[in-house]
Amino acid sequence: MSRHGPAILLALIALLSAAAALMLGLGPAEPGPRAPAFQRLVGGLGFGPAVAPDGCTFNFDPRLCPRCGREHGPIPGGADFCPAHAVSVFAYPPLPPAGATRAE
Amino acid sequence: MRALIGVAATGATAVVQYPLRSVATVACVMAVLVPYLSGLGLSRGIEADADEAIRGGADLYVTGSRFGRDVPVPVAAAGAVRQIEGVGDVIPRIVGAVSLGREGVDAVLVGMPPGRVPEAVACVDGRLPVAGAGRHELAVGSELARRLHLRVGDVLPPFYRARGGERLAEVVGIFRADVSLWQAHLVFTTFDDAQAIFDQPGLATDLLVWCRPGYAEQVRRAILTSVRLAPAGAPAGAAAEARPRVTTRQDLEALVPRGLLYREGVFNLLFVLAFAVAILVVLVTAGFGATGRRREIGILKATGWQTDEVLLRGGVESLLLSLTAAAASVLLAYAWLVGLNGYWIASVFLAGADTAPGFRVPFRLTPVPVLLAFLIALAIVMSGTLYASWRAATAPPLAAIRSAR
Repeated sequence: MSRHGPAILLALIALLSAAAALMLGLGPAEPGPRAPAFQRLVGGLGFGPAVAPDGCTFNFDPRLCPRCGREHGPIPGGADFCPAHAVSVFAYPPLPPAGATRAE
Repeated sequence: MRALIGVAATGATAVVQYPLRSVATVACVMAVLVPYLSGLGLSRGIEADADEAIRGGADLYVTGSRFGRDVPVPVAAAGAVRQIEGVGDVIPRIVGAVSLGREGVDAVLVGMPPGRVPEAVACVDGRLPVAGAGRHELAVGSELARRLHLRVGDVLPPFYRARGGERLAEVVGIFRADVSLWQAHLVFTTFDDAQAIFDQPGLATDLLVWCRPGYAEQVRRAILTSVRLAPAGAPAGAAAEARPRVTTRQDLEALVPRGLLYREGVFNLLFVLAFAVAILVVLVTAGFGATGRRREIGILKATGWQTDEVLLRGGVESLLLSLTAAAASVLLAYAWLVGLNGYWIASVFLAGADTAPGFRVPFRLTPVPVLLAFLIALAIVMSGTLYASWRAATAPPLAAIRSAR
């Protein structure tokens, strides 16, 4: 083992950590510049982690379908019966029933 | 104090002394952390895009409801909504599912009145559909175009059945890949063409309502109490009449923070299992060089080191290994999601995405998930290594040296 091994190791770890911190600062923070025009064009479309409404429309956009048709809430774990939600990175609850708002 | 710092500094020596063990431990931790960070980064990216979808959308979405299910609304109801005080604009919209091509690729077809957003032309290569053309004019999503090998100017044979007959459709534009995640499988056309394709004259999926500032709640109540969603000519209270259902911008905004908490229950649960397995794996990898480690600890104890000093050395070693694993995981996740545009891993987390996504994968790493990743890495490495060090340090030095033979 080299006598300078630990020093080189510490320098490498510091460099790696600095690069990781830099990536955090450089990361794409907001949607692309054309995103607002697209959303105005389609009147607001898309919300969840799906690129198409096949499988689970609620997972694509709750405006099109206010709740998942495969959700079986009273059963333990029943909310995750839908394959679109089992490993979802962005799951959300159903919209409130017709005629009610969350403020009520 | 200086002695303690000296002891801690030997932790770096321990990392270098057993390179195979160090590399194996870092690799084990990275195998769990990279997908975890990728998932969290995708989640934040989708959240930012969802915020944009809410901002760019209408204040209220009006649909019909029957037996608790959403049903279309008559386009004529837009006139009644327009009369309500505080309403700025009302646009009927059609959103429906279609299948295209021999493979039956699923797509979402959206029909909106043309020419409403002039600057939206920048979203497409080609142009946006216009009304009154002989053929249906379509702008298609980037991933859909790639799957079906579509280019601007291509003509599609009829992909639907309608009582009034079918028409050819021409691709006049392809959405740019960086516009949004949700353009990938989109087919955009005019409202009239969408009505013809779905063969639903006089109906819309929803009415998009923009309100003057401060009027949204008042308009929502007025729609629920006074607007009739009955086919033209039907008497008041007819059986065919649907109840209005109104989704507000606030309803959608309320889903986002709750979504984050919800995700923690579903997404993190799976990774808790992965972390538990990782601890066991690190325990196994700690076996690389364990013989030398026991002999070394035995010699240290024989030369006067205390157990807490041995553990401090092991703790610093774990800290350095976990810092290396966390930093390398951040770099790898960033390179994978941004540099390689989430090749393969995006299709794991985004339903319907191709292995090589045909759209810009939304990704946003923030300091909190990275800090969390570092703490998890520390917990995994310490759980996997400190126990072995403690066992060797509490044994009599001679026994530790002998057992290492």
